[in-house]
Amino acid sequence: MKKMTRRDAFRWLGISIGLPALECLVDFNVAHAQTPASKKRFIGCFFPSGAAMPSGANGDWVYEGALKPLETMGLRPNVVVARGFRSVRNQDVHWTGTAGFMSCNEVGLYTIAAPDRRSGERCGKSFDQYVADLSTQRIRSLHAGFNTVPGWDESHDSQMSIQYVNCIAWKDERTPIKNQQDPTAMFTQVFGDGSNAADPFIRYQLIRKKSVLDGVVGQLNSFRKSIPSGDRAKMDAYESGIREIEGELSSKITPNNPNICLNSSGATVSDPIKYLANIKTMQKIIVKAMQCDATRAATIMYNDGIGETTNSPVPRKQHDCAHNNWDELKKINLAQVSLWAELIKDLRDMNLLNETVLILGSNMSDGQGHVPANSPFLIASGGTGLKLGQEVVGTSDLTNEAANRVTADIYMDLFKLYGVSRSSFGEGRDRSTGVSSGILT
Amino acid sequence: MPKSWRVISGVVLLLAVTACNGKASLERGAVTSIEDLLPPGSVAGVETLEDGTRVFIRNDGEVIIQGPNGEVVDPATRVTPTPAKLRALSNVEFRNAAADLLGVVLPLDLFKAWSPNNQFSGFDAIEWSNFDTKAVRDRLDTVDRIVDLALSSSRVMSCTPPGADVSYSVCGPAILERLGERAFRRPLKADEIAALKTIYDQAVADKVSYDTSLGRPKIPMDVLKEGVRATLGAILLSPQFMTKSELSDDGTFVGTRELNAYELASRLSFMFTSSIPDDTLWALAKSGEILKPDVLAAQVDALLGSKPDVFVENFMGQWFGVRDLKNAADATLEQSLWKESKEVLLQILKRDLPVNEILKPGFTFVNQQLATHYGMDATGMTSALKEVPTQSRGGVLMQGSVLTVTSTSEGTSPIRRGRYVQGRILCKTVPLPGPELFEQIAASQKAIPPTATVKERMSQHRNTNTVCYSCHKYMDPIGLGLESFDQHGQTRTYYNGDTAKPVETDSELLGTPFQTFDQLNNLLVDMPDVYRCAAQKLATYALGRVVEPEYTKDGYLITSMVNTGDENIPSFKHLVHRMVQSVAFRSVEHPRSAQ
Repeated sequence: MKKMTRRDAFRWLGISIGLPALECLVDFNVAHAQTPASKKRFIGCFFPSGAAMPSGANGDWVYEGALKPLETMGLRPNVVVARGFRSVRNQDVHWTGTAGFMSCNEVGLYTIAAPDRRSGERCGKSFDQYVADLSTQRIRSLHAGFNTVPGWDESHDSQMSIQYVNCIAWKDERTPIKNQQDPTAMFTQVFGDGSNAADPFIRYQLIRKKSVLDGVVGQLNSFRKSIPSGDRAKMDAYESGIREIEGELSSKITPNNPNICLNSSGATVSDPIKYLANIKTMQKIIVKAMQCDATRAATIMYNDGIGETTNSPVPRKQHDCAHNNWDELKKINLAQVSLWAELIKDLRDMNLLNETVLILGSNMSDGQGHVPANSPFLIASGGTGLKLGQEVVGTSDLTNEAANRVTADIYMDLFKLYGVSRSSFGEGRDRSTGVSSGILT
Repeated sequence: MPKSWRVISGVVLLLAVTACNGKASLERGAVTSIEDLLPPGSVAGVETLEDGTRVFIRNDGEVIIQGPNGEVVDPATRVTPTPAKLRALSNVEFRNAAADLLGVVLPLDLFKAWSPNNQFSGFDAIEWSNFDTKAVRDRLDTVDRIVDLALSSSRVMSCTPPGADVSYSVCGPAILERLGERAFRRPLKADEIAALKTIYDQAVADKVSYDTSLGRPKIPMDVLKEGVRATLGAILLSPQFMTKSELSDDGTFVGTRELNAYELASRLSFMFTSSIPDDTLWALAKSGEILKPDVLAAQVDALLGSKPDVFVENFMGQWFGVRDLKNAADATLEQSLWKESKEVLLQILKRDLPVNEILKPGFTFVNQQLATHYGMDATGMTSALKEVPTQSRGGVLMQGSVLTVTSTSEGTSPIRRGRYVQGRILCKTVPLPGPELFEQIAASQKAIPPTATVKERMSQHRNTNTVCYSCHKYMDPIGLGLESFDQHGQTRTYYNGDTAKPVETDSELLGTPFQTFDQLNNLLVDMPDVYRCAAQKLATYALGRVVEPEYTKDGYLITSMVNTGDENIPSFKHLVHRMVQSVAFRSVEHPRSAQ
C-alpha cells in the first residue's frame, strides 16, 4: 500500500472543512451511558488581550457586542456568562493570565540574583489535564493553537519563561503543553495517515516505531543515572511523552480498536496559513475525535497570549488593537467568539454537547490597562447542572480586582460535574476559596 | 563565596548608565594602584568580602577588586565555573548535528512542525522547557524521515560487506557504536552499548519475522538496514544526543572540576559550528590534545577561519534578532537585508576590527536591490553584494534588517527601538512596569490627542507621569534619534511624505543632547557599554545561560573578557579567545541539588 503523504492527508482535510463526513466505529452515547458523572468531555478555549471593556467594565462583552454570534446561532441558552472573576496576575498579565488561565496558579519568576541557576518554567496542572486523567482514551488530549512566540524582550525574558504566553495547558507544574498549529498534523494524529494497520507492512512500521521508542527509553535509563536529581524531572517528562506516543501507536496496532476514527471523504483547503481556515479545521478535527471518543480533553488558543502576529482574523495585530484600536479589536473578538460558537454548535449537532463543557476566556479584560478584573469568562454546555442561559456574577464591584473572585471557584464547581471531589484547586492568591462560584444549578 | 551585587540605588537591573565620553581611556593602560582605577566619583557600589577583599563596581559596570593587602586583583582569577545543567539542543543545533553526524543534507521542511525554542535576548535554548507529547511526536516523525535519508549515506553505511553474505550481526553493531559515540560526543558506556544492541537485535528480529510471515527470503542487506534504521532513530531521540550535558558519573558529585577533553570539544563545536565536533576536533578530543591551551587556541582560530559564517549567523544573527530573515525567499528585500547584515558582521570579525565598529564600520555590502532601497548609487550593481565605503550605512543601527525587526508592520516605534538599543547594544535591561502602573498607563494613553506628533506622544511619558518617565527616559529619547529611518530602513525627512509632519530626531542620550541620528550613533560608538555588552552576549551564547554583569561572578567574567591590557577596544576575536580560555568555559560546577 502506498504510504500516504502529508499532501494527500491535506487534501482530505479540506473536506472536513466543507462538510465534515467522518465516521466512527463506536456509538459514543451507548459506550458511556453507564458513567455516573454528568460531564465527560472538556474543551478550554482562550483568546488574548481581552475585549473592549473600559477599565474592566462589561463594555462590548455583551450579547449586543462581541457575544452576538452566540445569540445569532441560537446558543445563548447554552451559555453561562461569568462576570467579576479575575485573571491570574503576579507579573505582566499576558504571561501570568495565560499560563494561569486553566491552572489558577501564579507563574514562577526567575531569581535575578542568580542568573546561572535558573531552570525552566513553573505554573500548575491545568483543568483539561485533570479531565484527561479521568479516562484512558487513545489520545490523552488535543491542543490547537495559532502561533508560538519564541521570546519577547530582555525585560520579560529575564523574569519569566516565554512558555507562559504560549501555553494554557500544563501537563504538570513543570510541563507546559505546546499547541499543534498544523491542521494536517492534527488530522494525522486523530485519523492516521490513511494507512491501514491490517496491512502487514503498516503494522510492521508501527512496531518498528515502537521499538525506536523502546530504544530511547533504554538510553534514557542509562542517562538518568548520571544526571543530578534536579534534572531528573526533565527526563521523567520526556519519558512520559514517549509513553503517551507509545500508547497511541499500540492502539493503532490493536486489531479492531474501537477508538480508531475513520475518514470517508475528502476535498481541498485553499490556503493552509489562513487563520480562520486553520482554526476551523482543527476545531472540526477535535469534535470528530470526541465523537469517536478518541479523546475527551482539548484546548484551543485562538491566539498566543500576546497576539502580536498580523494574521489575526481581520487581519490586524490583536495586541496592538487591544491597546490602540478598539474598533478593530471588536472585530477580532467577534470572529473568535464566532469560532467558539461554531464549536458549540458542532458538538450540539452531534449530540455531544450535553456531556461536554466548553469555556472561553482571556488573560485580562481591558487590554489598554492590562486589567485583570472581570476577565471574559464564558461556559457552555447542554443538559443539566449549569445555570445555562444566565449571567453569574462573582461580585457586583466588577472593576475592583480585590473584590473579584478567583476562577478556581468556577473550576471547583466544574470538577463536581465530572464526578471529581477535590478539596481545592489552584495555589496561592488564586486558590479556590471553598465558596461555590454560583454557576451550578 | 561573595554575595551577589546590590547596586547602591537598590535598583539592580537599572544599572546607572554611564556618561559617554572619556570612560574608555580611564580603564585602560598600565595600572598599578587602585586609585588609578577608581577616580573620584566613579564608584557605584562596593562590597567587602569575608577575607577583607573589597569589590568595587564602577559607574561604567567595570568590576575592580582590591585584595586584603591593598593589591589589585585580576578579575580573571575570580571567574568561577558555570553550574552544570542539562540544556536541550536548539532546533538549529539538532538539525546541524544530525546532518553532520549522518553526512546528509536535511531540508528545513523536516523541522517545520517543531515548536520554536525558548529564547533569551534572542538566543535559543537558554532555558529548558520540558519535552511534552507534541515535542516527542514531532521529533519521532522528523527522525523517521532523517533516517530514511541516512540509509543511503556513505557516512552511515560504511560497513557494507562484500557480496550477499553480509553478516548483519557484526556489521550493524559496528556502524552503530561508531555513530553512537559521535552522536553522544564521548565514548559510550557499557549499558548504552547494551541498549543499542538490544534495539538493534529487536529490529533485526522484527524484520526477519516480517519477511518470514510474508514468505519472503531473508536479504541480509535489508535486514542490516532495518536494524540500523531503528537503532539510529533511537540514537537521535536519546537525551544523550538531544541535550548538552556535563555529567558526573553517578549524578552525585558535588564541587567543581575541569571539563574533560570530550566535554570541552563539544562546548567548542557548539559555540562555533552549532553542531557536534567535526573529525579534527573529535580526534583532538580522543587524544586529549584539546585540553592544552595552545591547541585550544589554535582550534578556535581554525574554526573561526573555516566556518565563520556559521558563527556569525548563529551568534550575531540571534544577538541582533535578524537571523530569521535568512529564511525569506530568494531575491526578496528581506533576504538581501539579511545578507548585508551577515556580510558586514562577518567582515568586522575577519578584519579583527574593534567591537564598537559594529555601529559604524565605515563600509557596507549592497547589491542593486539594496542600493536602490537605500537611495545609494546603483550604477553597475548586480544581484551580488559589493563592498561600498560609507559612513551612513553598514552600522547595525543603520541596517535595514535591524530597522525592520525593531518596527511593526504599521510603522516605527521609538519605544521599541529604544528598548532594542538598551537591551541589545548596551545590555541594559529596562524593568517591567509594575502591575500597579497599568491603570496609569491606560489613562496616559487615552490622554494623548490623536493629532499628536511622535515626539509629543513620547513626551507624554515625561509630562503626564514621572513614574513612567523613570523608565521611558532610557528608551524614548534613543528611539526618537532613530526616527529618521522608516520601518523598512529607508531614510525619511517627513512622515508618510507629508511636509506638515517633519521627522524630529533631536533628543538626548542620558543627558547628552543630539540633533541627528549620526550624532546619536557617534555617542554610542564611544560608550564602553557597547563592547562590554558584546562580551555579555558572547558569554550568554557560549555558556548557554543568562549572564548578568550585576551578578558579581559574571561581572568578573565580563571585565576579564574585555581587558586588552592596553588602550585598545577589544575585537571579537579577542573576546572569543578570552571566553574560551576562561574558567567559566573550561570548568563546570556540580552544585548541591536544590531539591
